[in-house]
Amino acid sequence: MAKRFNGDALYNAAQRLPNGGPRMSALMEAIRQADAAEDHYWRMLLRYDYACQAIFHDDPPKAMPAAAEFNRIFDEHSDALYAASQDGAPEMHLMITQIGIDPIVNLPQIPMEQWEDLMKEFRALVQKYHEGLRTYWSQMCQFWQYVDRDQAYTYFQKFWKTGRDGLSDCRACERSLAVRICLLAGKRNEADEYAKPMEQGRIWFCNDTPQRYWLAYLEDALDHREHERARVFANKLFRKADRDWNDLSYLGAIIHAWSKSGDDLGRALHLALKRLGWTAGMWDQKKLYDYYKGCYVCFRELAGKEPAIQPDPQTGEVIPKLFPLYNKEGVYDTRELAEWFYGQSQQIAAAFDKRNGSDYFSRDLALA
Amino acid sequence: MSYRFQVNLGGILDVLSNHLYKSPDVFLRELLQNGVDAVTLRQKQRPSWRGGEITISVVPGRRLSFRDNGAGLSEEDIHRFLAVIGQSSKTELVDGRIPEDFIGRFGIGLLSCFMVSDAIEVHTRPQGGAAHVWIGRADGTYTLSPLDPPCPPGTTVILDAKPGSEHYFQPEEIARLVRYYGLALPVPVYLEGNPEPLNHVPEDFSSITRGQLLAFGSWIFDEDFLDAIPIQTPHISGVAYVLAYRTGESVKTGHRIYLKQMLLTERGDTLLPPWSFFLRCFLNTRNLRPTASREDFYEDPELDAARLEFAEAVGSYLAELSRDNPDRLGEIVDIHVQAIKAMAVWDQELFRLFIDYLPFETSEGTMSGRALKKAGAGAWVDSVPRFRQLRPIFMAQGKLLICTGYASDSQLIAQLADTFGLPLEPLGEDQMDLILDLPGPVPGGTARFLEAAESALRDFDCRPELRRFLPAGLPTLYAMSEEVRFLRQVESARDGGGMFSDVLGSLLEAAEERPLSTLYLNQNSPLVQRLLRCRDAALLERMVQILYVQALLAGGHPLRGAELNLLNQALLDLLDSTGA
Repeated sequence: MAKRFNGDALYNAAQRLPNGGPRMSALMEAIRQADAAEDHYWRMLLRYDYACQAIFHDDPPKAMPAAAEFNRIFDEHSDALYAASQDGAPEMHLMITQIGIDPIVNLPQIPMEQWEDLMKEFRALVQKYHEGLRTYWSQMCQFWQYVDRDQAYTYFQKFWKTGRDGLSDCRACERSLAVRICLLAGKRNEADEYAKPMEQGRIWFCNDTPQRYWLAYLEDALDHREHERARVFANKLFRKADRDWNDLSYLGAIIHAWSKSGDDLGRALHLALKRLGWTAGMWDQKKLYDYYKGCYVCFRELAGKEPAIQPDPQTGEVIPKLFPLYNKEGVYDTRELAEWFYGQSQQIAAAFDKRNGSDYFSRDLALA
Repeated sequence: MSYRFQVNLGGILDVLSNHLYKSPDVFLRELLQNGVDAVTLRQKQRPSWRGGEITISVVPGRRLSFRDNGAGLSEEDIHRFLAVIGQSSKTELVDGRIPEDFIGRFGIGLLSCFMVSDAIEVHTRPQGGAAHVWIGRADGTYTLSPLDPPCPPGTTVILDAKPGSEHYFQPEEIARLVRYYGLALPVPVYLEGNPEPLNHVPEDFSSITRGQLLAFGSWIFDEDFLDAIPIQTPHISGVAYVLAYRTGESVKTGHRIYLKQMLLTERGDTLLPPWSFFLRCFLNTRNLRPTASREDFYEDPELDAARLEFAEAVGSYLAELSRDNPDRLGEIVDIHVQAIKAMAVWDQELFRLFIDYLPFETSEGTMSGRALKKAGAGAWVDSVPRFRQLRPIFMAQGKLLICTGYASDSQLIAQLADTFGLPLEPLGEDQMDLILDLPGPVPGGTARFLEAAESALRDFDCRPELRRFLPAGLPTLYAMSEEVRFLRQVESARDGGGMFSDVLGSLLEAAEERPLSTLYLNQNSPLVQRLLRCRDAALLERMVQILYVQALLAGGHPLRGAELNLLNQALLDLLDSTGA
């Protein structure tokens, strides 16, 4: 007798697994079974969970096909979600659409026009459901920060003036974005005001993302070559953001900051080598860029002091065999490493700037 | 011309009650804090004095009187500290710092009483000074007059319950709140009429027997624990209790974490390391800074040091257990394997300590780290479904496969291999030679067979490869890298149409090289042997396609549209070929 599909059991079993790869693998299997059983409710709910895992704990672009599939199922079988929750169904539809669009900012291979088309579709959904306008402006602001800072600040003001609703990000993540955009606009005092409730512990951080505003301050300090200030934020951030490969952007900035602080160059090197394996197979180009840029700074600083390094696998410093400069002897020329990481960073920066029609990334790399 | 801001006290109270404090019951925490600070101040003024105490009397549902016998306030103090919001008697700096022995510092604590009472009446008298009565109201006005007859030295705060707050003015509730917020306070707190203090906790837990610690934990948390780890470090003293049952890694609450003996938070995620979800902690901290809401710690180097001290204390205790009581450590590992694995990933020393005890799922059943050290060569895979697919092959060949699809396992096995130089490798799609032998000689060669197979699979981004492997009953094995898996999903989603179709198309176009999946055809299989002899190219192609779909299904891979139709079409062709 064929085994009956039990979405609850599969979902709960997946929740017991660790975030990221293992849970996504289990969810994928559950999705396959839900598809086979044609249980539309679970087909959508499991894809939603899968997309959330990809965004928060894995490689965000992996959320895109799941979001696309969800939308297609929703178009034909929205009643399955509405039956479970009248309010929840539109919210989930909006949320997963946003999750599907979100990674595009970090994928320079996708033309800006296609992103704009999707944002128009998202705006139409916002109007249809009377919800999510704040999120819409937030998305605009996040994309435009790499295109035109003034325009991004304008979008930020619209975002902040629009009321919160069920789709809005957690308060700490929203304020972290506010800090980031104000710093980009050169308004440090305003950024400090947005950060204050978090500094005072009046706002809790969500479990999925660590203190993003620390990253904003860290990057700002690096841009202004305030290395001691950067070091303080790097140390704070490191305690929260060394969990999985989703944290590569944080780690890249931390490596960068530690590399600039003479006493911490050893720590920077250890971290750069230890987490290099996390870059393998990563689709998110911004995370790769941030990590490669950090490694470039680290090996550039090191090249002036040590001509070669020998990673120690016993401390977790493992160079993956698929890494282009991998060699069996296990000894690496620091200058060659610096050049390789610079070349990769430069290539990604150029792709971003071409897509965005700006020089944000080239200037950012030049500042490193 | 400059002007002074006007402060709307009603608005400030709304901010306090709705945004700063999580519950109105914090008024008692603030009173306790002020009471203890007053006693501390009197002790500083007269170091030989040791008689500090707090007494609370309650008229059920109506009135609460909170009395301390510490340093009372003079008339000048009252004007300075009670009547000015944000002014605290405890913020006068000593050597540039706020003295560490005071708990409060923000000068807003007393305002929290307005959350439960419309007025605050304070009777106060300093040592050798005059007594005064101060009455503050929520509209921002206050009165001050001499108190006649005078009260004894110290301060009494009198609150009348406002409607809706009566339940806070019950003796049982007050006792509960004193224990909750002030259990660890160094000043005894009495409920009038009861000679036993509501709070009593040892200052140093390191010299207390395990049995006593467990009994204390049972009393505090109302549950029995597996073990008790005393923590005594420069920043922390207390006990970390080992839960008797398994919990999830997302559990961060349920602790009692005090700052200078006053409860600060139940959440452990700021002070405690991420693996501490198997512990329930009763900790008193020193020299750390609170946030304004007094519900969390401020991030600074002192907090870093405290975190490290806690982790080291727990690690040292468990290291001692491994020497002195390995059975108990084994019991803890059995229940809290996930947390212990997370600890082992976190710290190299802890890794060496625990790895022998930790269990891993393998093709040969559950094996401990100790057993894996002696097991010889092996491979690991990060996906549970992939492990299940490959397990029969490894079992048939007597080779070891480890499943690392569970929390921390991947890092631990990699670390195990590196640390002890073991021949364990991750099983990538490019390392299938471990279980797949090269094909043997085939009469008439394999060119025709492989050509037909290639043609059959071309449209599915898959290439055929002839190999030999056990079990012979398995004709094919489908292997797909993560990259191929993702691209297949993207392609399938793009083909489905909809708003994301163009974007997914761009993603596919930009992929530098379309990686192919591989269908391994098993030369040991009687079915494949028969196909190798087949001379009908069209029939061969159809058969390979059927095997391809079968391999996909066996591996749990979702079928794309074309693959769904393939099986039906192949079967129809077979029927046509027989003329049926």
